[in-house]
Amino acid sequence: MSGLRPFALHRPRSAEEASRLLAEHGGDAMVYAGGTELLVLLKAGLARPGCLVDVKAVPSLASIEAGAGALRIGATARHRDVERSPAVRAACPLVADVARHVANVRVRSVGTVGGNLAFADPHSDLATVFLTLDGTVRLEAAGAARDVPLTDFVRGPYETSRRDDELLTEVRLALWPAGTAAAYLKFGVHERPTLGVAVALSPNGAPDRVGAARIAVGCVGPRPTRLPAVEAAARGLDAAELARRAGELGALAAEAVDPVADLHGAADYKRDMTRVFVQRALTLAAARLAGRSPIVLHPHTVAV
Amino acid sequence: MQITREVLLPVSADVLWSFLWDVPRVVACLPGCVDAAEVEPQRRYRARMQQRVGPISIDVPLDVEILEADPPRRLVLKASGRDRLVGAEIAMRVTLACAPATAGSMLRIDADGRVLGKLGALGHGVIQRKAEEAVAEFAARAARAVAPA
Repeated sequence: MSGLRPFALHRPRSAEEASRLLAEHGGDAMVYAGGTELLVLLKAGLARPGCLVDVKAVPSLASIEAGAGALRIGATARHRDVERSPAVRAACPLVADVARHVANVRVRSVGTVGGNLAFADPHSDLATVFLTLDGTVRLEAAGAARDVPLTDFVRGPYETSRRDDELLTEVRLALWPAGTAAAYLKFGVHERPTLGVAVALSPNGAPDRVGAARIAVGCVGPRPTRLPAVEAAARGLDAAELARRAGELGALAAEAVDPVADLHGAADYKRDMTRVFVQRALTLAAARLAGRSPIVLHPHTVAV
Repeated sequence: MQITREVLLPVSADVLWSFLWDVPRVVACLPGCVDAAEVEPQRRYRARMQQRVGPISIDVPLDVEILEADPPRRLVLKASGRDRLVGAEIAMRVTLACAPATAGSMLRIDADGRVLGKLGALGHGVIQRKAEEAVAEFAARAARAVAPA
């Protein structure tokens, strides 16, 4: 690992000032928040910015607010902040539980939600979970802001639709309807997950019948993705039927993904793991929809 | 890493063959390729490949060696280089095969390469995807470049 190359460090006090700096320096600037991903790149020489724009001192970027069916998480809110936030815990406990299992304690203590999304590491938890909450990121440039759905924001590994002059300021999550049962399962023997599956089942009419299903798979393809075919197949089933047909829906999910071979495994392996983990996540969420709280124990698996 | 792509070009194989030796025009079709220069006519060339994947950027000086030239059908070249700052090594063997087709010529591109070092540790998926995008873009630009005005 080579040493850090020289760079200028800017510490703006407002989002506007940060945006102005990004516009001024263009592709030569990089946004610095927790630094958990950025510093690895800098030390490896894989990124060579002329300046860093440290946004940690911008107070407006760190806030977390819930209200009117939405949860708003500021870009510099750390995973630890999300885990401990009463607003998050009340509005969407699954998000708090997922935050508690991101990477390791060092990363959770300094790593930020905005940094995680903006870095678009293909092996990440947040984007997968946020897809089931119809997550939208806000990108601000000098004098203009736009809201981009995560489905459009993450283009592929490490690539997003953020322009060099734009600052990711927050992510907005559309809260699930009352009574929704959710689960997130991830598998991995390394620090980063090999795959993650998020499921949210919202009732319609009878409390244990699926009115709307939201299912997302991450770390398997070039970017996390919702599985509309599986969601449609789950709709209308009651919890017991869904549990019985979870294997069939897992197989449907395996057909729907676009697995990419990488250091975490071959494409066929990832496809088969998708089948297994979608089945498990659906089974767990269906049990929760029926009012049960089963304990899930599988090797190298986190289930929340 | 292996990439294969075929592109139908509206010119004869002879015209296509001439295009493939026209370094400035070919370089203009290769995304990220800059500073190309001839070292030894029809044998050795130099160029730099600049690529960016999100926050990650590489700048690799490449030595290009022509291994086979069978006009106007087949051209085989080897490109290799190392980004000293990143420690990334790239080695590629590219075969370009031109065959007559009903509406011009079919150019078949076979690229077989490997990426080593820290960049390789990013994972095969990222590099394969970026290389596929570059080959697809080359094919598209080449089709425009050779098309009769």
